[in-house]
Amino acid sequence: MTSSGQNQGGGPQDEILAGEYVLGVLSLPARRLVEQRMVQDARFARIVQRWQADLSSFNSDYDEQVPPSAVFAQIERRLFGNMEQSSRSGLWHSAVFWRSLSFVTSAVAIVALFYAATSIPGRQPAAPLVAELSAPGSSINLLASYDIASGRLRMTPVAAGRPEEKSLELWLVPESGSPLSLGVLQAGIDGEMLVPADMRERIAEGSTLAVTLEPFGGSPTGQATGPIVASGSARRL
Amino acid sequence: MQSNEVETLINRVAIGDRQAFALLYRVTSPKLFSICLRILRDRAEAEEALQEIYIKIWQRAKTFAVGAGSPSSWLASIARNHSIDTIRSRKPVAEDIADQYDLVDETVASPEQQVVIIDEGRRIAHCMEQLDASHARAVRRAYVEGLSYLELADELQAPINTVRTWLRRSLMKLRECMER
Repeated sequence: MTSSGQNQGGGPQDEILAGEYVLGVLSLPARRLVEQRMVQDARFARIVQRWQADLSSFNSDYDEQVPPSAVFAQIERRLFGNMEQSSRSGLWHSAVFWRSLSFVTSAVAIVALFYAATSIPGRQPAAPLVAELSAPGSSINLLASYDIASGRLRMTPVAAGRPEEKSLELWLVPESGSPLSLGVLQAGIDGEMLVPADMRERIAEGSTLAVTLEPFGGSPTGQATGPIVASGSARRL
Repeated sequence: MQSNEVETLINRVAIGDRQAFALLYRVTSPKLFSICLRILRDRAEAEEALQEIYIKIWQRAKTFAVGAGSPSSWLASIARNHSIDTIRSRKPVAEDIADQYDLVDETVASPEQQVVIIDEGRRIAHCMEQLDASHARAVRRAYVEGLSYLELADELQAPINTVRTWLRRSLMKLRECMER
């Protein structure tokens, strides 16, 4: 074994099984077994991925055929329903909404609101329920958004207090040197953030991540200035 | 469209950007539809499959990892996997998981060998040329058309076990060649 991380080879049987899977010659039950194994065995999953990359040049055998336009309409209907028009509309993305929300939430209360009910007159999609979960003395609150139609509940950490005062910023803490900013946690994007391209390779197993409380919009200096509210190291699931 | 533009679109889809999703569909669906048609060989089924595939793309965009392969091969693998699953469930084939892998040559590469994946397109083309021409064709057809061992055996008019042995041996030779 080497430590370069480049060794992705497997035993002959694993190589064959992975290759057969990527070629597509296996039966359905065998395909399911391979997929289960990929979930449990990262090394085997890499063997499959390598075959996928190796054989992907065969994709040039597929020409291009434009599907009928009804297909995309159907996809959108199935994913988003009929009524909404754009993912960027709606109060979830509105800063004004979050500001006003903070005025109505008390420090200890769990407040549930229908937000969409006030926004779109007439026909309404199933309105998500939103709750801000907080506790006395805590510097972070959790925002929960429950989508009744899909049963999906999202939790987003936000800085406690008025949103225009504080932001939560996520940092990658290297072995040595100053923490590197990965960005500001924003309620508007459901707790997800896109890691800057130049930082992606630096996040690996064992990396330490930390969240600090910073002035609104993130640290003005590029260095962490506020208190650490949470930290931990990354491990593979 | 450049591969990094497709990658940017996938990353925007991962954070729920529907406009990016519509654009991603516009630029990538002709290729993925062609994959569905080729494997499923039925227009209505291909249209149905394409819907399922883009629903998966929407749901899985956040699992697309930078460095795990090119964005277009990631998309193609979702389309191929879905189409192959569909056709396998339509036409069940004989059980194959318990088969003996008893065909391995002594020439097989050691698993400890170092591998750097660079320029795999040119390398696989070179390695395919090292195979017996009919075996190379069978490998490529299995991939492109999503043929099962049974269908390959029909096409090649050879016993299924022979075809299986050819194909497995071809896979090992390809792997060995690409590690060189």
